[in-house]
This record gives sequence, structure tokens and C-alpha cells, in this order.
Amino acid sequence: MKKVSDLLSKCISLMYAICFPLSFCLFLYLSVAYKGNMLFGYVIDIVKIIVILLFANNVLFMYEADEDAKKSSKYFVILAGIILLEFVYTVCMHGKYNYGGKNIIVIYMFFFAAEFIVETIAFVKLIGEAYGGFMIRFGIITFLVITFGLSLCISYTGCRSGLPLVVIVLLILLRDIIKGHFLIKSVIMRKHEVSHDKN
Amino acid sequence: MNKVKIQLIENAMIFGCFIIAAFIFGNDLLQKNSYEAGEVRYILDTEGNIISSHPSTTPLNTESYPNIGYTYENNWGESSGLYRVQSGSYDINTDEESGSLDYLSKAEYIHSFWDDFCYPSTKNYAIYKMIDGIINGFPRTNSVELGNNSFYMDDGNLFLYDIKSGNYGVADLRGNWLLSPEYQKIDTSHTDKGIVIVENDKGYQRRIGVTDLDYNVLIEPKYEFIDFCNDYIFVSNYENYIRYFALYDYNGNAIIGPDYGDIVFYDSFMKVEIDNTDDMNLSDYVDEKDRYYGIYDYEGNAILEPIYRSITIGEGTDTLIVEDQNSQYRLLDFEGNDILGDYYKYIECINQGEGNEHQYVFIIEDQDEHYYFCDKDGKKLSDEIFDYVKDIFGSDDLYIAGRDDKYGLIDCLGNIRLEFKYSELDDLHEDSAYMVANLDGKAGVIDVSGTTIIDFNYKSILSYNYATNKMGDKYIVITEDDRIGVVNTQNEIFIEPESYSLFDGEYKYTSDDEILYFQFDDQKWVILKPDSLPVEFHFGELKYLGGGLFLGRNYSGYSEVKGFVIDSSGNIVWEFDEFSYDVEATMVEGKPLLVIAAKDRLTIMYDGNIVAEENYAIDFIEIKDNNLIAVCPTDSSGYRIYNYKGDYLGIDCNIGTSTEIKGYYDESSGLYGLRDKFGNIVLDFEYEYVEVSKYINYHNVKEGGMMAVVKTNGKYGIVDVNGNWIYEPQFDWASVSNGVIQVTLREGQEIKK
Repeated sequence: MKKVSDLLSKCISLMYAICFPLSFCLFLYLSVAYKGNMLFGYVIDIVKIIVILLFANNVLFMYEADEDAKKSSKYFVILAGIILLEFVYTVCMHGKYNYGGKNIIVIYMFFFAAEFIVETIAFVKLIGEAYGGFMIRFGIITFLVITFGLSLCISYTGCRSGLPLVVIVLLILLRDIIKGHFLIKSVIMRKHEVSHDKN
Repeated sequence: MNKVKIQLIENAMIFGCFIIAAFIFGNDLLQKNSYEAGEVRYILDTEGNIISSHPSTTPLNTESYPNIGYTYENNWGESSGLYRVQSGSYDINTDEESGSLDYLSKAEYIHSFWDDFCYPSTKNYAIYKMIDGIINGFPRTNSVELGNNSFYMDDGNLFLYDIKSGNYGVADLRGNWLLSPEYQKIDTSHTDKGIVIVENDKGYQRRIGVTDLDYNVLIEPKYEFIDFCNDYIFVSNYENYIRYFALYDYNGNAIIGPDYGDIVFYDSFMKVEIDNTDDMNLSDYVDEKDRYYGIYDYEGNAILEPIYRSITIGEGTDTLIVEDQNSQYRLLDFEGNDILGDYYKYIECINQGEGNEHQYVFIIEDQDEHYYFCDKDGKKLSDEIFDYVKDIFGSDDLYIAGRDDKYGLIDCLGNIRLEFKYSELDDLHEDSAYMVANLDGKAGVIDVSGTTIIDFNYKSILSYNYATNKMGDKYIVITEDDRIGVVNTQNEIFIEPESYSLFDGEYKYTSDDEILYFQFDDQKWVILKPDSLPVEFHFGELKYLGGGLFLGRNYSGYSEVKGFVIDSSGNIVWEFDEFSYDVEATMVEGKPLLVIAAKDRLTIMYDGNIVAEENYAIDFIEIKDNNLIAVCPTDSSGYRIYNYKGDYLGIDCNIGTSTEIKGYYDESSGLYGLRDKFGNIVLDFEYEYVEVSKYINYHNVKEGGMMAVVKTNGKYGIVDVNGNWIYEPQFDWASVSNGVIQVTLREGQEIKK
């Protein structure tokens, strides 16, 4: 039973590690290509919410002893909640929106920013001091994403910016990779911990 | 309870809160996005019967009766940018839903929810716009507001919006474009002809094209107008001032075109025009000399190549009068065969009226400038030839003819109806019974029998012209000693000839006050009227206002320095101290009515007395046909109406409609009333609302009558032109827009007559 639980725990961490960059890339592709049938996009969103909730649950049991890391599960639940709200908004507004208006973009920017901030807090709590190296990398990349994100907001409010799109996309992907790296690493480290416990 | 469990419960509670929030949020959005049908609006006749009913959030659109338009609205506020109205229409007689290019939205689409998932999501849109904004810069304003009017079509395909191009195309359910997204509208109401009309609208100019039912383009979208004629597609478009036409069959084959200047359809052929626009400034109209006309059959074969300067179609005679580029005329039949067998200097077809033995005759001018008559088969009606022949307008079978510089009247058979003895003979167009003639160097007026109407005593008599078109039975005459006067057809001198000559411009005659006036010297004008001495004025310009009053203006260069209102005796009635004013005058019951708007002040003078004076800023004034005075204030509060006695009647609620009864608004009480066209009260100012309309002839309601809807104590009722109730106030809402009575009814409410 313990084995099954461990396997599930690892799988959920890996799913979280893979789910975010995958959903980001896929959604970016669908949006740029602007393909007709978007039900697929909604499936990804639902899967993402489930994965985050499972991951939050996983974190709770994985870091039973670490008070700070355990608390991060709350932020993952909040992240799932915000994505749920965004999902509901997208579904309800689908096909009814006002093309050309700025309001929709502002609302989505708000959702994206909220998701980014909550996820960052959750990971900061999760990483804690134990994984200092990750914290530095994660901190730097998050700082860069925020900087470029703010530039994007400024360019949106009027000052046209020549910010290359590819930079911000790559930064987000890089951040997802660091997250993924951390999650995989943490799984392995936990494996070691389990081995040590056995010994 | 351990800490993990506590945290687990906390997490569950947090997510539960999010689920509740999502439920409330989603429910609110769905409610706002859903379309409300609105109240049921009933169309009634005048006898209390319900003719038809349909829900609509706005009043039913009865402009195209019996096609009735209705609307559904979503629940967003109008300022939100998400507010949408869906329109539809139905036929009142058959209850069938009908649509047109302007009414693409379908009732089924209004309620669809799942269908929307075929279109890119809001999130995709937002992401796309963000990326687009980063690459190309974000738009500064929200000015470009494009609604997504995508919809499912009857053939199962989608008329789909494409965000990249901002256009629509036809896509199958997998999103493959069957018709590339280059269009804004689609009209599938002609599928019975095997075609679909698509419209590409760039905002400033629409371009219509045609596809087959598989969406293959048959006619490229380059035409502005489309119509159907004899199983052909008739298209046209403008390029600056030049209009091009073309005719296609339903397979997209050009029968005529694509660049013809005009196509006129007849039973068995078309008259086409080709314009020579080479070396031409396209922002100008095509000169007559650059227009070439021809005749084509409906197979596209040329009966006459388009090389002619003019072609006159004689549908009553089955003939064509063609004029070539050398101004040579020929008479042809509809097959293009030459009837006369030669070229002529001029050919004209005259309709002598039904019942005449020769209803249609042709005046022929040969190369030797001799005139004669022939019938539609080219047969000469007589051997008589003349040096001049002219049809007398409206006379049926009389012609002015000349021979050896003497003129008389003839008929088409060459019979002389009036001896050839006049050196000049001119018909008077509007009054064909009389002609100005010149005999032995003196002018007079005769009728068609040669009877003298005005003696041959004058140097000249002015024929009808624009300035004197209302002179009736009077003529301006110039005597042998160059005096100018007016003589009537009783041969009486109406205005004594006086020694003045026209300096500049033309003679002017006021029909309501029988005054002849004109400029006789630089800045000098004279007024001549019956039984009066001439009155001279020093004005740069003199303009008749009406009611025997004139507006005289003096100028310095191009600027007006002083303006006066004067009467025909030369008395100054009003003197303007400013340059910006509006003045109108007319005769009411034989006395002059003068209305002046100057210095933000309205003055109404009747019979020389000021009857009303009011102070407010005025845009313009107008005296209506019924002698009511409409004053348009600059504050856009509506036309203020006065009668000629200076009484203020209220604000006109029926601007632009000439109706027997009008709604008026009383600012002091804030209530509305009805008055007849003379300003008399039909319903006093006792109503909260009034709307007037003219009956349309439907369901045996007499056409042309008037009715009005009025509101009192919160209930609407309907009155006829005399103020009698058609329906007493009982409805929560009513309208008589376009002459159709429509009301809303509460549940179980009975209609009381």
C-alpha cells in the first residue's frame, strides 16, 4: 500500500512538472494558430486543476514534518481555485465576447498575474531554505518574468514596446523547467530519505 | 485531530469557497450573456382584434409591413461593450420567419450555447491579442468594435469569424475553410438559384460577389449592387463618379460586361452603354460624347454594336432611332434592320395620343434640311415637305412648321391648320393653347386657331421662363419705345408699361402679390405693380420674401453691410442692425405675416403689428404651408410652433411629418397635447406622451387616416384624427409607429374598445 502511495506521489509531482509547460505550449499554439475547435483547451484546463489539487494534497502528506512546506498546499489550492474561476469565465464568455475590446485582455492579465503570484508564493513556501540553490534560480527567473511582465503591462497601457515575444515565452518555459527540475529532484531526494529510513 | 487533517479541512474549505464563487460568477455571466425575448407585443386592428403577436425587447419594427422585425437583447449594459441585440423578422400574414442580408442573426442561434464552442475561446482571443499587441503594438483605443456574428448555416457549415483577417468565411465543422475569410456578410436566400451572395465590406465601400453552393467564387467580389433580372445576375459598382454594370448567368458567365456604363432591360433585348474613360479624370462624370450605346440580346449577342451616340427605344412602335458619332440618324426595327434605308440629319418619334389614327409618327429631317412625316414602317404620311417642323408640347397632333421663313401650324398629314404668315412662332410650353407670334415685325399672342389673344403691338413678348413661370395668363411685354409692362390674355394692360430696361439678371414676378421687379441699373431696382407708380430702390440685391414684402441688401465688396425689409410701396418695415439674421414672410388672409429671427430674438409681425416677441437663441425659422411658424432653437429642444397671431402652440413632436394632427409639448406643464393642422386643439395638454402616425392600408383599415397614441395616468390609449378614442387608455405600452397599432397586454387583460 505504501508502495502504491509512493508511486502515486511521484507520478503527481511529475504530472505537475510536465502539465504546466505542456499546457502553456499547447495553449500558446492553439491561440497563435487560432484554430476553431477549442474544447481541447478546456480539457487541458480541467486536467490542470485536478493535477494541482492532487499535488496540493500530495504536498500535504509528503512534507508532513515541514510546517512551512505543508502550508504551501493551501496556496496550491488557491491557485487551483483561481484557475477554476478563469475556466468558468472563459466557458461562460465563450462566443459572447466583444472582439477588439481591451477589457477581456485586462481580465486575463489579471488572472494570469494572480496565478503567477500565488504559484510563486506556493513554491517559495515549498522550496523553503532546504533547497537554497533552487530558491536562487527560481527567484531570479521569477524576478525576470515579473520584470518582463510589467514591461508588457506598460506596453499594453500605451507605451509601445519592442519587447521580443520569444524572451518572455522562453522565460516562462525556463521557470517551468526549474520548477520541474525541483519537483523531480525533490522526488528523488525523498526516495533517498525513504531509503535512509529503511536503513 | 492532527495538523495534516486540519490543513486538509482548511484546503477543502478554501476550494469549496472557490467552487461557490465560481458558481455565482458563472451564473451571473450566463444570465448576462443570455438573450431576453422581451414582452409579447400584440398588433391590433382598430376593431379590437389581435392580428399578430411576437416577443421583442424593442417595439416591433413595422417599417417593412407586412414584414415585422423583432429584437432580442442580452443583459449586459449598453456601455459595457458586450451589449448585443439580435434581430429577426417574420411575415405577419404567414408567420414565416424571413431574413435578408441585414438580418443574418437567427432565432435558433440566439439560444445556442454549445454551438459557441466551435469558435475560438475568449482566452484564445486574449492570448492572441496580447501576442499581437507585443509584436505590433496595442491599439490605443477601443474604437474598433467588431462583433462576432458567426453562425451555423442551414447546410451545416459555419459562417465563421477569422480574427487574423477580421473577416468571415465559410468553414466546415472541422474548421477547414470552404470559402476563404475575405467577407463580412453572406446571403443564402438565393440557394434555389444555385448561388450564394457574399459581401466584402471594408467600412467605406461594400463589394458583392457570388459563389456556387460549394462556395466556389463565380463572380469576384467587386460590385456594389446586385439584382436579378430575367434569370440573370445584374451587378454594378461605382468607381468615383463612374458606374459600371455587368450581367452574368447563374454559372458566373458574363453575358454582358463586366465593364458597361449602363444596361437597360427590355422584353427581348438590352440597351447597353460603354463609356470611354481613357484619358479621363475618374473623379468626374462621363461626358455625353464619351458614351457609346448598343443593343444586345439575352444570349449576349450584339444586335447593334455599342458604337452609337444615342439610341431611342420606341416600345410602342418596335423601332430604334439610332444616332451615330457623325450625328446621322437611322430608323431601325428591333432586329436591327434599317426601315428608311438611309441616314438622316434628325429623326424624332412623336406620340400623338391614344385614339389618334396615327398614334406614333416620325418627324424626319433629310440631308437637305427638309422635314416630313412618316409612320413606323417608314411610309411618308404626305408629300409635303417643310423647312422647319417642331412638335407643340402637349398639343397631340399640331406642329409649328416653317416654309420660306414664314411659320404656321400643320398636322402630321401635312394639312395646314394655320396659315404660314408669321415671321416667328413660339409655343409656350406650359400653356400650349397660346403662342407668341411675330407678324410684320410686331409681337403678339395667338391661340392655335390663329385668334389674336394679345394684339400685335409690341416689340417683343417674353415667353415662359423660369423667373416668370407663375404668371398664369399674363405676359411681360416690351413696347416699341422700350417700356416694360404686363398684359393679360384679355388683352388688357395689367401693369402699365414704364420706361425701364433690364440691366442685369432677369425679370422677376411675384405671383401672390402680382408685382414685377427687376434691376434696371447698377444697384438700382424697380418695382412695378398694377395701378401704381414705379418704386425705385438702391440695393445691391432685392429678394421677394412673400406677403408683398422684400428683403433689400446692400453690400461692400462681398460683405453685406445693411439689410432692410421693405413693402412694395417702398416703406421700411424692418431694419437689421446685424448681419446674421433669418427672415421669412408670407400672405395670410390677405395680410402680410413677417417672421424675423435676429440677435437671439424672435419677432412675429402680422398686418404691420408686432404680435409676438420672444428672446432665445434661434437656429432658423420656417413658415409652413399651413401658415404655422416653426422656430428651431439652437438648444435642440425641438421646433417651437406659433400661429400667425403670435400664439405659442407648443413644441412640435412630429418633426418632418406633414400630418393632419400633430403632437405638441407644453414645457410649463411637461404634458403633451394634439392639435390639427391649423393649430386648433384636438386634445389639450393633458397627456404624458403622444405619438402620431398615418394609417397604413392593412386589414381593411382605411388608408391615409390619422391616429395617435397618448398616455394618461400611466396607461396608453389610441385616438383618431378627431380626438375620439379608438382604444381608451388601458395598455401598459402602445405605439402607432408606421400606422400599425401595437400594444403589450397583462396576463388575462381583455382589450376594451
